[in-house]
Amino acid sequence: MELDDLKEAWAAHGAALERSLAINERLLREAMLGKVHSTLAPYLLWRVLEVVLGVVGLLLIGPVLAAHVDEPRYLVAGGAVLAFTAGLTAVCARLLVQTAQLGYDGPVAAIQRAVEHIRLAEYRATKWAVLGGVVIWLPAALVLFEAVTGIPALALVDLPWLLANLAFGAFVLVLGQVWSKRYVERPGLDPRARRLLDALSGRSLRAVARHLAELSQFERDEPSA
Amino acid sequence: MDASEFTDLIRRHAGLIHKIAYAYCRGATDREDVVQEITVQLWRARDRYDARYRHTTWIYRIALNVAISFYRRERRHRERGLPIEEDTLVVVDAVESALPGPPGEDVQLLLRCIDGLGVLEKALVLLYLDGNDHASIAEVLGISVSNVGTKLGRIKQKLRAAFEDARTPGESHGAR
Repeated sequence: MELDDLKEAWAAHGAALERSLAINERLLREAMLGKVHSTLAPYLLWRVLEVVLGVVGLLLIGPVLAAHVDEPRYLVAGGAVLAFTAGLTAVCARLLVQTAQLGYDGPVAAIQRAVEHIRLAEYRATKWAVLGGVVIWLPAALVLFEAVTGIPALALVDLPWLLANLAFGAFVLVLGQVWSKRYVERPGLDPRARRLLDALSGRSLRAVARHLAELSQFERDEPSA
Repeated sequence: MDASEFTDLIRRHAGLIHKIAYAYCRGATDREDVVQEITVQLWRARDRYDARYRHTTWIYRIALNVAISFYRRERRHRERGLPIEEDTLVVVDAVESALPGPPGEDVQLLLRCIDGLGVLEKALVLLYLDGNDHASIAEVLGISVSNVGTKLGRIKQKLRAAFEDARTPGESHGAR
């Protein structure tokens, strides 16, 4: 059998679908009135929330750092927290804009490539948010505490204790990478744990990279056989 | 494009939208979701419609982009073993009962075989089966006309082997 032999059967299948599943008039009306939301709406809302939280964080951290600009401890630890928050907020804002601007009416190969690039950036952001958060959570908590209460918590903690916590965070970061690579293939994991492991181990990134390679190959002009 | 023009257009091309949803989604609920998302995206993109292209090119692009994105997202969920919600199963039964019955044997075989192709190869086959010429297919997918010809030739060979395999189980060539 050849593909061309199936054209008639495919057309009959389409006609049968059209007869029994005509476009739902209510759906059409509601889509036109804006009552039906895109499946992307929750994703966009989540991104907006991330950006808002990031901006609030920056507004809280900035004045604390400005007040202790001559203290090395604040410059190093607080500066790292500020840079981390600013970086993540910028990535989230970029993802929000890219997703909101994505028009599905472009050529399929190009739009699918854009979708995969957004996914790639998203997985990278998740990975570094989790791994970076493990290292800097303590100085972040201390700086935010000061922003809210006015008590200079970062200046009050022992430096060796602070450094030991940062070192422990770095150790957990390395351990997390090793552990996620080891257990990523384990079946029966909780879906949320699976998602996190996929992002940490790089499995999601590899899947997107594979798909991008497939897209490039598809777009490439090949000599006829 | 005003609301009545849009409604007429969607009614005229409902079969095209359903066929694409059917080709990429196994479950009836998924198909309903895809049809809904395609409708929403078409409505949102109506002001960007470029009159240089035919209406069908515009609809194919949006329908295929939505269906492929949905399919890839659902496949990741399935690979991660996310549970199927109970209400999904109920809706699947309800919607399946509205279908005209399973497609003919030939179409079932075709759908099985094109499932072994990549998402864009599948899109190319669907466009070809709908009678689009190479130039129109190239326009929808965003590849060159000569590339369409080359790819189509290769896919036909793959599918020929897959059809033979399906009809004579035991030997395996596979569509991939």
